[in-house]
Amino acid sequence: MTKTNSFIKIVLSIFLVLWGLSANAFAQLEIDITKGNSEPTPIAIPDFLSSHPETTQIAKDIARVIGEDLERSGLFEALDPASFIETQTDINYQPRFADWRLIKARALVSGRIVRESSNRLKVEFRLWDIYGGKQLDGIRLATTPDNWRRVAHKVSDAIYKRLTGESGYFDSRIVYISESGPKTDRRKRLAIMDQDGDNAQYLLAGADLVLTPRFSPTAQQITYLSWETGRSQVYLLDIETGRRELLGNFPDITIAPRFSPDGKSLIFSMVKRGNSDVYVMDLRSRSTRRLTTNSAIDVSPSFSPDGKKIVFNSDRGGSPQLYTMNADGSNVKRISFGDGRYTTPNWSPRGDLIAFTKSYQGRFHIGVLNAQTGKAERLLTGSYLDEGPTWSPNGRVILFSRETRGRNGSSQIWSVDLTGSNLRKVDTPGAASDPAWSPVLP
Amino acid sequence: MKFGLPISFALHGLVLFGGLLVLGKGVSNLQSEEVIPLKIVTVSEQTNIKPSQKEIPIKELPQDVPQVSVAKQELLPKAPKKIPTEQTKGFNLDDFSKMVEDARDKDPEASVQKVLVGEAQAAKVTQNGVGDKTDLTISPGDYIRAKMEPCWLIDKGAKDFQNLRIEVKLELNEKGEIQVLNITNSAQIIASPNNGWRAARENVVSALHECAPYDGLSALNYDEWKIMKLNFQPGDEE
Amino acid sequence: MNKKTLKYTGMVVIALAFSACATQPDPAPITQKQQVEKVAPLAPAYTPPKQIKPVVRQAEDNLAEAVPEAPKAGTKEHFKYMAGEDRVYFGYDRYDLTPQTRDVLRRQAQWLKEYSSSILVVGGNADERGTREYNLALGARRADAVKAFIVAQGIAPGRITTVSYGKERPIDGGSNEAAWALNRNAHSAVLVGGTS
Repeated sequence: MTKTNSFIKIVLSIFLVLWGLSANAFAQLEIDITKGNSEPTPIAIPDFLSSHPETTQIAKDIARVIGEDLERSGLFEALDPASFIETQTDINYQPRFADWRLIKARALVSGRIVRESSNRLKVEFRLWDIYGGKQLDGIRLATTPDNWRRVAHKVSDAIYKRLTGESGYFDSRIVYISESGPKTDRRKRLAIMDQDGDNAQYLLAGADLVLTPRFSPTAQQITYLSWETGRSQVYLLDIETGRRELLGNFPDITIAPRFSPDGKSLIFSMVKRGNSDVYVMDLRSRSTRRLTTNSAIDVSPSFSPDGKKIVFNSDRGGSPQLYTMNADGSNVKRISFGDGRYTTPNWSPRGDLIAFTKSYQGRFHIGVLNAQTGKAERLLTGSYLDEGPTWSPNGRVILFSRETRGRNGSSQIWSVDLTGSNLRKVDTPGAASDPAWSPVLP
Repeated sequence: MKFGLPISFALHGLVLFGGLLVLGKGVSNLQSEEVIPLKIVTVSEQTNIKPSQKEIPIKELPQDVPQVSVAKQELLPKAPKKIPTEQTKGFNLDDFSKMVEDARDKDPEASVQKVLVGEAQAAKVTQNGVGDKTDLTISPGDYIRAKMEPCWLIDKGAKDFQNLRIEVKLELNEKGEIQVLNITNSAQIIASPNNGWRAARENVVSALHECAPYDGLSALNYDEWKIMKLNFQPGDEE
Repeated sequence: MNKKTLKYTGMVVIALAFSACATQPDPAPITQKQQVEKVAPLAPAYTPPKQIKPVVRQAEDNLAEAVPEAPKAGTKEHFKYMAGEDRVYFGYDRYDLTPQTRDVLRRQAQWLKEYSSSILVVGGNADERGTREYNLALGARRADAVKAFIVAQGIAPGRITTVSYGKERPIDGGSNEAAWALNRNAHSAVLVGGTS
């Protein structure tokens, strides 16, 4: 069988090579280029044009927020407006590409704001390929003036998508735990902010311990752990209506909730007689099914984006390692084999990678490994205590908590690109931990 | 054991389908016939002319961008723009111990790394004596490779980035200016579900233009490099 | 085994000393060995009494200053006083009970037998050198180990509930061996007549 197959391949290859040679007789010199660099793409974002004095400031702010969004991704460098040669006065004309080539811009965003009334405006922009000399995208968005930030994020998303081929993530939010007080008496509150750290607010008024919030991938819903009743239980919160619900009200300790990719079920761990196992709950019928039966710790389950597999953390082999299984609990396989302890796996929404926390020789790292093979492990960060990776909706950026050591240690949210570059602290009001990214807003 | 059947397939029917089965690097040349030329590059000065009719119009989004709301709003104070730097007010044991701990834990990766690969490479090219048009100092292959490195921006976070191969037919005039630039595997790229491949293609086109002209090549053997086939494919990290 | 236990006890003593002054900065990290050599020979952390009643807590030194009076019988303070400890401690990533731990838990069980209307909430805790969710699972394991032992002493399982706080309730905020040893514990809280 394989013999015949390879025979076909050989015959075909000979044919195709001969054909290729004759068709390409002029390309005498063939050069393989394997080396480039990972510098960010230079992009020019002049202030948007505004025909009305009331929108002048918004026009400036929108351009600034777009630039900040794109720069924060690490993939773009917003060029200094002082270097711009051309000043466009009408975005419906082609830019002078040569002027932009001189300052090495590869793309240009030119936009304007059309004020339609005191509470309605339209934001238009065109994205130009400077070297290709063509327009890549042109979009008009309508909104109210006080919603300009969201519009800016939407523009950033469109630009990111057109220039990288992957969907953007700027019009999204981050739910997290806002922390205050000393380590031995720490107050933790559920909070939410825009992806860029703006617009932070508390989601719960209570003083109970809350941990590990996670966003539904399909709705403006959050699941989280709260000790409201004295022990850890799983809650569901609709952040638009404020409706809150205790899920299951199990007599046992429940921890580590996470949504399935379709948002229809919840996966979590429940501890019976000291033994934690993975369970899945259908959110409509509220029926619960046990997926693991091992006497070891089985915790931190996370679905693959197609919903067919689950990665989780277990110490069944003697130390905490990562395992995958089918969504029905069958076919358990260990996938982490390096030195150290592996915890908090999180399957990338892109499907190709699994992020995790690894502790090794007194340091904690955020890393990724190939979801299919378990190989190609890469550690992206390292510090006294890094933990809890969460993916951007496009599977490109990872947020995590970093806590400093000692009695005055405190936690902050950091972000890193999946390549390990572009490590940044995310600005939050005060200490923060347990970030979880929302899906892109509808 | 059944050789007759596969051979007859190979010789007759399958030739037509061959182009679809990408078996190896040499194979995809087939598709060059169906290639849509990406663009012709006569870089004349652009003036403010109305965009042509082919221009993508501005897409109107069907609905207004709505406000998003959150129940039970209680604003947190604004985040500090910068990480507050270590204050050194009075001497305080707690602060001191924190400083010690911070120092112990300072992460070298904490600042955004920026390596000026581009400039370093440009310097290397000049050192090699290529940039100053001294003939016969370097092979066209080495010259093009060295020239491309600072210009070609690779997105190493793109999905399967090492498989995003871009094949280019590049025709230069004697001054090393681009005459024709064709992406010969465009059909394959467009058909792929991985949109990152299209982005990679545009990155290569921009890189080739930004690096032009290729005036470090010897005019004596112009015939050799007049038409080149360039295969862009990120290699393993060194 | 014995040596290990001794080491451990020494560590707890040191840790307790540090925790007493919570606002102090962390001391320079002291390795486990140093602590043990200096402290362990002096005195065990706690000498178990022969009988349950009356208990006389041994003073740290022999200055026979007034032994504090026993708290009111049946209260949570009384529980701690009688059992000697309301917390038991664990090794790194462990949930097995040491002989000392068992002694403490036996006395806790004895008290529960005596005050049969009381119920017990066991809270499992972990040190900070683990990730949040794993530590919640580990804390649950520790709490359950304590519950299982007390149940084995004849206390009805229905009187004991377990909770886990993972690494969220450290009793020492330091990042050193002594603090970690203190923070790996299971805390027994009795609820008497509906109040604690």
